[in-house]
Amino acid sequence: MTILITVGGRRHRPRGILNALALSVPLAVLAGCTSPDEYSGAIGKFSAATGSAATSLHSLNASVTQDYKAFLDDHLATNSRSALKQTSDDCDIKAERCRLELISSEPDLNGQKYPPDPVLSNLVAVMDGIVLYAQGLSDLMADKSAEDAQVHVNAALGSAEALAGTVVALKGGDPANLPSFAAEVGAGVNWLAEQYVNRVKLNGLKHATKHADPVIQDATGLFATAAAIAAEFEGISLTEEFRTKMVDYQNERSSGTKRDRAVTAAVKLDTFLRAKPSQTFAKLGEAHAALTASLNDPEVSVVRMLAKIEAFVAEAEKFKKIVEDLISVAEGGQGSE
Amino acid sequence: MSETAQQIIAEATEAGDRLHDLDRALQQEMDEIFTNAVLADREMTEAEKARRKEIRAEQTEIADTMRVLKFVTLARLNNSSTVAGLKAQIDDVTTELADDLSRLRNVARYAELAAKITASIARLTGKIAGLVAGPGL
Repeated sequence: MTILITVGGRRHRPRGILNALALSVPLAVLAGCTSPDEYSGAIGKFSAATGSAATSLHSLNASVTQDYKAFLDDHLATNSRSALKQTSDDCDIKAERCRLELISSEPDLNGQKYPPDPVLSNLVAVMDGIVLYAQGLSDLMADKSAEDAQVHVNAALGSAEALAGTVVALKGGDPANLPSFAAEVGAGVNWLAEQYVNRVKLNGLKHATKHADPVIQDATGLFATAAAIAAEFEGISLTEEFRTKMVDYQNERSSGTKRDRAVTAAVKLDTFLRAKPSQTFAKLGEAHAALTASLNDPEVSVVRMLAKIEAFVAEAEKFKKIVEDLISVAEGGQGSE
Repeated sequence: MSETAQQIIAEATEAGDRLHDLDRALQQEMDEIFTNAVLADREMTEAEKARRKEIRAEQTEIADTMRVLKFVTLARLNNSSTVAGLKAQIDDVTTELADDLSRLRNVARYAELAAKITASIARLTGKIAGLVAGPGL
């Protein structure tokens, strides 16, 4: 059997030795396969934006939990029919935990844990799982096994060729008459190794994205809902602040100062209402769906997939700012307008 | 058995919508009192101000109830069977990816092996070349 191989734009006709070598490399020679390099940059961006969205979700988790604790503190301080008690069966020497909860005349608050547990801890763990997955895709793309293999092959072939020359010289012959094989055989072996690596990378990507996509779509749907609820939770304070300022102004319409305060509060609330934190997760889902489609369906263009990933990258940046603003508002700052 | 996210969201949406409707109705009454006074070119009466104060207090209570509802909804979502299932599934995918990486890292080992075979064949080639060249030269 004769194999014609193109290496670096040149066609090589490997000798029989290459055919033997091909057997030692566990691969099938590929034809018409997409290069993983096409996806490398896009996956790197996807991975980085996923990491950024996860960091913002961690911050949102901490902020909402802290604000709810502050709300419970306020309730305890201002409501004489509320107090803390130990949770049943906790806090004795045989118990595993010592936790506290509220007794309250407000049915909704009665039995609430104090301090509250991090409210999004499991959701954050799922998001961290997605970050690990995206990092895994990125690591797969960045793997340098083909390069490592080339180093071994080139070194071994170089020494073999030198040895063959020595043997010829020892026999009194001219090593120049020995046909050179290292470059040609090395190129062939390295090409095969590279094709194998590319195949594993692409198959890994195809399989992983196809398997992960339904999970990512469900998770992003849930994150979008949770982020919207968490943002609304933080937004209640802004609504209350706006209404208080508005009533102050309407009770004394002639006061320019009160009017300005009401207008400022309205601008702040408007900025908050127009920010859509759930969009980040919708875009994450769309970007992953496009990546999966592009890898598994040759009809789907890489350009379209790249555009979806760029849209997600932009939304992850926006989400970061929205969360920073929410935290700033919760801490009594103005947020950025 | 823990609840699914879908059940939790459906319940929370219904409860949230009821609170929101009530809040909006109260806000409409607030606005009407103020608008009527402005259009009549007068200040609000003390009775109107007192009613608006009552409305604000009710709105604050609704806001507190909404806070609790939203926080409790988040906590329920966080502990739902849906979230637990998602975590297990994404962990599976990540493990498979790690396996793919291990396979790739074996390539360097395979290539080293292939190169050793090449070297052996090359040594043989060298010997043959020497045998062929030796006696003739």
